[in-house]
Parts: sequence; structure tokens; C-alpha cells
Amino acid sequence: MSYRRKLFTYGKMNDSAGTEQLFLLAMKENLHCHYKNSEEYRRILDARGFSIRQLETIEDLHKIPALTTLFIKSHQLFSVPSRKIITKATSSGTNGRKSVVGLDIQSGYYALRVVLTSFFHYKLFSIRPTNYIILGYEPHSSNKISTAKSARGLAMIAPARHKEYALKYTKNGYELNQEGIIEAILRYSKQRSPVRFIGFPSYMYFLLKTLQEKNIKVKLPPKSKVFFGGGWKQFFAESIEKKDLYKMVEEILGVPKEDCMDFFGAVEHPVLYCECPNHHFHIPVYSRVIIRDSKTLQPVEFGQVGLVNLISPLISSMPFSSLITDDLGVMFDGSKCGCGITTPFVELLGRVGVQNLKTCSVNAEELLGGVSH
Amino acid sequence: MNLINGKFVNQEECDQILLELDSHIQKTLSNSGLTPGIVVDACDKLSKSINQQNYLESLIEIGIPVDLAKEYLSEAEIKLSRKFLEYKLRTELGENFNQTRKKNPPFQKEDVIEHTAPLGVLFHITAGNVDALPAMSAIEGLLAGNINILKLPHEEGGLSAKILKELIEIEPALAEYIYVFDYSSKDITAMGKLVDLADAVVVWGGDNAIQSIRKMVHPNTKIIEWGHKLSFAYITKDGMTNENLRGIARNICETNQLLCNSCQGIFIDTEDMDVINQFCERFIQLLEDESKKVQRELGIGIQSQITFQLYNNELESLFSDFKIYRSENCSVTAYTDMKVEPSIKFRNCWVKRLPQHKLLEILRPHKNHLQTVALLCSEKEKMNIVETLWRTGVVRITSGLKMSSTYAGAAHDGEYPLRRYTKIVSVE
Repeated sequence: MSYRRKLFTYGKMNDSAGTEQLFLLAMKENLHCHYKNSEEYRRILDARGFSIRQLETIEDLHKIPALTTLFIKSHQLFSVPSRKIITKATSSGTNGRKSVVGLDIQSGYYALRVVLTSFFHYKLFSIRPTNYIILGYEPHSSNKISTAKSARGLAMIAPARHKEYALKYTKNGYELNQEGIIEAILRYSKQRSPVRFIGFPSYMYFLLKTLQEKNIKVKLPPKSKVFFGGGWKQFFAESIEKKDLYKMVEEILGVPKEDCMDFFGAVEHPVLYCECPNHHFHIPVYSRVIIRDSKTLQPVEFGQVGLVNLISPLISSMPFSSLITDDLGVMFDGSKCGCGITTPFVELLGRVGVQNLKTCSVNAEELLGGVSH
Repeated sequence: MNLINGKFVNQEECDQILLELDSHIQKTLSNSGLTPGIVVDACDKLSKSINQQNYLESLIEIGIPVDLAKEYLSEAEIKLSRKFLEYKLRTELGENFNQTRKKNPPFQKEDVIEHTAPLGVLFHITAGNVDALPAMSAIEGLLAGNINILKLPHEEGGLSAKILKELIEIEPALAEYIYVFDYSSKDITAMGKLVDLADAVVVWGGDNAIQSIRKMVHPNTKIIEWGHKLSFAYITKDGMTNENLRGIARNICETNQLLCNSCQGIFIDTEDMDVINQFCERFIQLLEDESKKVQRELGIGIQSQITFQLYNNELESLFSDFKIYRSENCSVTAYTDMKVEPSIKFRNCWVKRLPQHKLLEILRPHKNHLQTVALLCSEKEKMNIVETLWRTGVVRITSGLKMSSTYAGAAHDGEYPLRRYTKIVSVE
């Protein structure tokens, strides 16, 4: 059995200490495969003087030359022939540029395993018929955005009684369905089936604000849940804290914060990070995270802010073993959380750069970018 | 921060005043008007008090490093002084700017009386790229005799309102000529109303800001644009002295390449990439030396953005033909193309080839975006290159060290602001 297979079928998703060696071996296996099959990746590793032999312990993972989320937007790197790609997903395209990720059968299977294991772990499966409010796109063949796919996936873990989408597909393309959503919330609140909300935190926030303006408050049935995902980065313009949003959810929808759960993942790194009961993203056995110094890119200690580097041998079709994102984050000692999980947890703080930088040289707006969906 | 009639007012009062603003303005316009003398007197008094502790503290409060704050204050002291302003008025508006001028033009029997008059009401939509720029823009409007309505950029930090309030305290007659509003540019109703009241909208900002103002303003209102610009250095073999190069490095470090007149990159008069690469090896050291002398702490957001971008560029360079030279606090990138472009800023500049015979061809498409060129060459070469650069759209040619400094009566982006804020009226 390959080391990757062993890792991704490993049942105890928070046993990082017990899987250090396995993770390292799976990484080496994954790197060997990319080095052999992707000419571009080989060029990068060689140019940066990296040899897989340098990976002696788990502490050496930072030595792997990481790609950046920006780099993979302008280069399509594949380690398998295109006929082996079974599914393609597109990132939601921050700053207008999207990255396309293609998974082969094995990577797709492992990604699914990771998601299912996480859902089992956090007891999200339910056999009770459930009403859904999906704050995202109604599925349609024209839409390849990964968030639409993951929202659909999340809506399958409990049987659907009814689904209402915030963005409905009409003959004019996608249109905002605010009225429909509000009517559905009022209707669902009078039924006995639990309700599950799924979508971007920013959409949830705008929905809650609209309900607030219309003086609508409901008490949704017990076991109702609010799932977020797709990133908090859109929030920075609104400067809303997660805990304030959860408070709003409790006040307006009557869903306690224990039943609010945030997820994060990326198409380029399809490891699912779920919030623990204390609302922390612990790093599961399937990946490692390194926070890198904002100037030197060297790994920093717990508690220090830096660039987030996501590492996982999950994908065999594209050489995304180690990716530096343009997000700032901070990592903490897992044992400080108190939920029982001891693997470190990571907090994402938003994108690099600032929006209102003072400059008057041409094109700076474009260069420095704003935060967009 | 809203400043109306010399007082800071809250948003509610401000909304009320906006409703009646038209009649306030008409009342002011029906008075005898503002003479430049009153404004110069008030500014001169302000210039004597500006270098004091309270301003230094305000600057430090909004995040400006102490040494830079001190520099700003001594610069402001000069720019607000009588000597500076009177020279500026005479240069920009002519020696007799304040008098009626009797003329006897050919082919005309009667004399003509001409006078330089203010446009009336200026609505300044300012940017936050230069600290206290909104106040300086309003002062220029005042010198030309206009009523000035200011919309502050949201990151301004209240410095301009403070300066203007002090100016009104020195000279209360200025109160009705200065309105500072804190409306967001997204507040279309308020913005629309202010635009309609103005004879001219003075807009500072990037292409996007200017484009959106152009869409908003009725043809009956004049638009005075101060757009974002791009500046760079041009070096010939003879101009490549260490002293000259240090000047450029100093400008890059002092401004962090954030200003219209900051050096974004360096063009060298050559076709040979070897010359470019050798230059980069030499310049990165000078840039690092200057970087160490001019310390500027960057916020973690910016620092990590630059690090991310540079690392990404390093990866990209493996698949392209540019080469990055890195040092601890700065970088220099040798490109094979000749495109004029902004740098990634914060002491990361580009170096490219641009032989003299291609100057016009390469630069001309960027015409109104070009501003300052630090020209480093021999005296013998200078006039020739200067004349070509002028034809490309460049408006100021200076040394590296002086790129971001100015002088009394200097044109801004090739134009005299006071001329743009006034009109010539005539009576026969």
C-alpha cells in the first residue's frame, strides 16, 4: 500500500503525532511523483537546490520549495496526462484571476475521504430530513466554481426536504433571490425539521443584516446548523469578527453558537479544516501548516503572524504539495485550545497588503488590489 | 471630520448644512471677495507656528515616523511662508495678477480691461497619498480666491481639517471660504449635490477615481484633474557615477516609491543586457546602503505582500528571462522588455534597456501618465535627451536626489495650479 493511501485512509484525523513518519513518507512519495512527471516543477526544485533527500524529519518540510497561489494562476502544472483528470474545479477568483485545479481519480477519492472523515468526526451526518438555505449558486452545468460544488456536497450529508438558493439560475443567468430566502426562513421556522445554512460568511452577514432591518427574528428548530465556508477574507472591509457574527446568528435565527461551524479549504489544497467546538481550525493528519516570516519566509514560532504555507501530499495530478498563500495567519499550540484535540490550530487573519495604501503612482490600485470575491 | 464655518460639526448638522449650502455660498459670493493678501498673511502666520510640538505629535499620531514628520514640518514652514507664496502667485498668475489690466489690442478701437478672477467654487476630491495634500489643495484654491469644498480621503486622519481650522482661527474671514465634508465617495446623493454646487471639481486620484468623476460631472462643471503619474530614471554611460546613482537610491528609499514623482525604475541607454546585469549588481549594493540609512518600518500586511510578490517573481523568473537581484531590504530586477510600468514599490525597482533613439517610440504612448525623469548623463548629452523627453510627455527633468522635492512656483504635472483655478475676465 502506498504511503499516501495509508495517510488518507487513516481514521484518526487528529493523530498528527502518531503519523509524523507516515506524513513525511507520503510527502516524499508525492514529491517523487511530481518531480518525475512535471517538467516545470522539476525545474523549480532543481533551481532552488532542493533534493527530496533533504527531508529527514517532519521539521524539514519547510525546505520544500513552495509554489504560490499566484504562480499557479498563471501556470497550469500537471503531473498526469489530461485524460486522467476526472474533475476540474476553479477557485472563486480573488482579484479576478482564477486557478484551475484538476484532480485525477486517486486525488479525488482522497479529497472525498478527507471530507467524509471530517464530517463523521464532527457528527454532521444526520438521517433526519433537513431544510436547506444555500447562500450560494444554484447548481447549473455552466458553473464550475468550487464553492458551488462544496455547498452541494454539504447539502448531501443530511437528506434534503427542501432547498432554497440565494443565487437562482434564471433565463437571465444567476439572480439574487432575497425574497425567496426570507420566505423560506419564515416557513422553515414553523416546521419541525432542522434547518441547515450553508455559504460564505459575507453572504450570511448580509442576510442577517437584511433580516435585522426588516425586524425579522425567528427560532429555528433544534439541531439546526449554520455552516460557513469559502473564507472570511471578504469580511475585512466590514471588519466583522466571527464571534459577532455567531452572536447575530443566535439572536436572529435562534441557532446557538455551538451549532455554527466554519470550514476552510481551497481547491488547490482540498484538505477540509473544520472548526472544533471552541471554534478553532485544528490541522488534521492530512496536512501540515507552516507560518512563514513576513520578510525572510523562515518558519516562525507559535503565536507569530506570517504567511500561511499549506502542505499536503493529497494531490497527485498537480504539484501542489507545498503552497504559500497570500493569506496572513497565526498558529497556536493545540493543547491551549481545551477541546481535547492537541494538534496545532491555525487562525486566518486575511489577505496580505492593505487596501488604503497611500500612493499616487500609476496603476497602484491594480497592483495592490482590493479584496474581492 | 466635518469643518464648517470654522467649527467641527457632527454628521447631523452637516446634513442640515448641505441642504442650505447653496444659499450660504451665494451669500459669500455676493460679498467683495477674497484677496490673495489675506490668504498669504494667514498662511505666513501659520508657517511660523507649524513647526511646533503639537503638529509633530499629530503627525506621529497618524503613523508618520519622527524624522519624516520633522521633514514635513520644515517643508510646510517653507511652503506656507510669505516669500514662497508671493513668488508662487507672481510666477503662476503674472506680476500684476491682483490688478485690473488695461489693454489696447490691435484691430480694436477701445481699450479692454482684463482681470484674473477666481473660478468661484472649487470642490476638491482629494487623495490620501501625500500627507496634508487636501489642505494644500484648499490653500491653492484660496490663493486664487475661491470658495473651497473638500471631500477628505477616508484614510486622511484629520490632519488637513486641523490645519485649515488653525488657518481660520488666524484669519476668521476665511471661514466662509472653507468647507470640509466627511462624506464617503460612495454617498452618491451628497457627492452629486456638492458637484452641482461647484464651478470646478478638482480631482486627485488614480485612473479609476478620475473616470468615475468624469461620469458624474455635468458638462456645465469644469473638471480639473491631478491624476496619478509615473516617474523613473534615465541613465547614460557617462551619467553612471556613484554619486548620481546614490541620489536615485535615496529617492527610492525616502519615498518607498509611493509618490507620483518617486523613481519606479531605471532605463539605461543601451541595447546590451550585459550592461543591465552589471548595473544591477552595482546598484543593488548602493540601494541596500541607502536602505539601511533610511529606515522605514513597514506594516506586516505590506511587508508580507512584498515578500510574497518577490518570492512569486523568483518562481516566475525560472520560466521567463528576467533576473532578480535581492538584498536584505530591497531588490532590483533586470528585465529584457522596455515597458514603462510601476514597480512593486517599497524599494523594489526595475532596470531596463532603452537606447536614446527609442525614447520617443517607447515613452510616447504613456504621454499624460509620465511625470518626472531623473536624468543622469553628461552635460554634452543633456540638451538632446531633454528635448526628446519633453516630446514624450515627461514634464520635469531633474537629478535622482531631487525627484520628489519641489521649488517655489513649480508647475504641477506641467501646469500652474493657480492658473487652472482662475479665469481671465474682460470688460470693454
